Amino acid sequence: MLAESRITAPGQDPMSAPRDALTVFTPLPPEQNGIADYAALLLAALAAHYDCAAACEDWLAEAPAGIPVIDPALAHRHLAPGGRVLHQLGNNPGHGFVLRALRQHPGVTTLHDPGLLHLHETAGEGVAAILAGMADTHPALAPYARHLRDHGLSSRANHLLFDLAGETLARSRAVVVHSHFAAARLRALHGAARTEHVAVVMHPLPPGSMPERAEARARLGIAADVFLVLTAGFATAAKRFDWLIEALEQAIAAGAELRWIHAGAERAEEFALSARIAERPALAGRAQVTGWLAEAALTDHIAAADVLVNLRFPSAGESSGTLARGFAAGVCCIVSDTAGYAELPREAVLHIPLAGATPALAAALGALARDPALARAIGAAGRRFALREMALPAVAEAYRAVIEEARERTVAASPAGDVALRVLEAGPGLSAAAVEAALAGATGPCRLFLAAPDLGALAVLTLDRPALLKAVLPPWAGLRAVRVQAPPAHPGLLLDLDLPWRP
Amino acid sequence: MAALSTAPLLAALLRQALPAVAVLDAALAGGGLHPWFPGARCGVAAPAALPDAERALLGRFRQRGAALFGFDPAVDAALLAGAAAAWGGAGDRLVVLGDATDAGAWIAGGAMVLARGGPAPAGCDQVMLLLGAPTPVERLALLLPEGRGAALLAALEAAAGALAGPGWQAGARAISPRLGTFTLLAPALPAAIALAPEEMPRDEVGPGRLRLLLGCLPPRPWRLRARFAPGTPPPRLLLDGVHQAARHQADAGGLLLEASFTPAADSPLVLGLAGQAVPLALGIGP
Repeated sequence: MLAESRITAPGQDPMSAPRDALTVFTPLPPEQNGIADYAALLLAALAAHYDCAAACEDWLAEAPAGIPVIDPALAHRHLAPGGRVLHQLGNNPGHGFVLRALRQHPGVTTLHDPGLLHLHETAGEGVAAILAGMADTHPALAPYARHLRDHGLSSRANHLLFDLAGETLARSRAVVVHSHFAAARLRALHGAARTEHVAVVMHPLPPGSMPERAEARARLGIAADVFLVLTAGFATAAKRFDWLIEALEQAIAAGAELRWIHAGAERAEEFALSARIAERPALAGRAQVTGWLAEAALTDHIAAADVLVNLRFPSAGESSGTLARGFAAGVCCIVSDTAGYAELPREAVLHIPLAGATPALAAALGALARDPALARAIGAAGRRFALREMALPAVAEAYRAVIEEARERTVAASPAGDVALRVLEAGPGLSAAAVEAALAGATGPCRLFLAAPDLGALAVLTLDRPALLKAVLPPWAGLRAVRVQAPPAHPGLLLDLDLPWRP
Repeated sequence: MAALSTAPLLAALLRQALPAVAVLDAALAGGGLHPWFPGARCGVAAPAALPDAERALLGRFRQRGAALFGFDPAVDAALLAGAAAAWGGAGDRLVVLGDATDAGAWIAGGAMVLARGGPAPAGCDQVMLLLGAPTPVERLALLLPEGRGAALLAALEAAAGALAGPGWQAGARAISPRLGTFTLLAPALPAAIALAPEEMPRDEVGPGRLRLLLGCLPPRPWRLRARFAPGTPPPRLLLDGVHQAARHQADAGGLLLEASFTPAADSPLVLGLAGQAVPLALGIGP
């Protein structure tokens, strides 16, 4: 016999007292994504406060026990009006469905990386949406937006100059970031009024105990007396492996005996890690890149380390799950003295200045390799700090406070269902300012009718002003189709536009 | 608008009375004939009136490669105009609407309209339908271009006669040249139906994920059966986005997946299949 089952709202247990439901839109393991791991951790802790459901694009994703995974495209059928929603948003294509969901289901959004340009570029958002986000920043940066609009040029600098977080700020009841630096950066770029709902909640420690160093080393086949330097996660350019490789070479040249493991995947298009290591004879036999690791193996590597190097430059205020694991394991953590990492207590980590980073890092690694007890002392201090400030129940409680406090906050409206029609006289004085004014307030599909007295006048106008539409349409307006409307209808140009959200 | 309880009966009646009719079920979001009328084109007459998320969801589906009605202005306009190519060359065209308010344009284009409510436009013939199995009795209106009401009334009467079994009650009455009534009460609904997955609105979400739109089913217990090719690993099944318990067994005909459920919502039910499996056949029944 088949078990009879009724389709009920996610998270509902008819046998228990009703609790408030919370739907969390997020990637989850086994997706190879630090935010997926973070979300699994957080969901388990939030279950102490709410009946949680996880809306995940991977319907077979692994949520903590007792938390149902639902299809995000159908989550609206189970959400009560005004129901509690949490979005976990990061800067990679695996979060495209979260970005789309936050437009339909306003809630609290955790902005793991305040820069969202890579997400917009890779999740099918389109150039128009990117240009709209670029328009939502300082006018001095307009030339970079024009490079993209007019020539399709987008440099790596754009990822620092344009965070594209304006829409997320506007559509969220509250925004959670993991450092005061990230909050300040948002405030600097978007103004105090549009960021007054930004809250700082620290990245939590992983629950449970980390493996003992000796056990982890035994599993990994690393001898007890090896001084192990570890890096972890995607090997991005911002993690400054160029500095680390140079520093390791200097430390080894100065007599340090050490081994380096990168416990994570390469991102060769950003930084060809293995190739760069191979160029350094001093690192031969001392350096290893594991590729992506599952949670248990990653944890073992961190627990086995003497030093966890977690450099960043530039940093947009992103958080680091690796660092949290390092704290939990009591491993000595070395970070860049920048952004959110600069907020960590001086006694809890070793800060490496941005200026002169390589010699400073080489000196630190050499000193720690000579005196591993010093590394253990710093690691113990870091663990004490983390247990005090980053314990998972405290983080879940902080989330609960943000979610409850934000419930009544209004957000920007989502695009209207009807296609808006705006009409403008297409005379000789037709200007970009007039078009922008005519399109004010419209979002999503929109039609702009440029009305002419007759077709002859329209022909004269377009002949007199070559590239008329390019000149008068704002850069964020996506032009989908152009039609000449002839009598008996009113003559003119009918433009089908796609207008992204903008402030 | 709630699911149409008598949709199985109504669909059987219309298939019998109008064997060559092409059906556009534009009442998908409010309980039309889908899935009881195989081959019907599905859609929504007023997608702008749907909540954003529901509109986004239905906008993802494709039926025979095309967007659902209501989501492609060019095709929608061709259907409304009665363009032969858009209707597959069918002579008789039936449009199912939740509300008759917008029926005028369809009738002007030569189509019949089946509406669940709202005022009928002026200048058309009308057959009032009362259907029940035996309860609830549901009232609908068939609206036709002028002069076609009498013939349809006769066709419905003949169809009921052909379908009728013990305990059926049917009656047709011409009230005026433009207005008739037709009543059909059946002791039970012919509720089980075999569905052709390739004909159904589908959303191929990505590798190993498929959504199929099952339509609005009355909120009572149902059993879903899906058959897959031999050797197919059992897929996970979701209904309205929620994982659903299912039993599977392999036999000579392939893998059979069965699930029992009671739809809770009035919106069109969505079947999700997670895994590398596309069903060869689907069936819904009590």
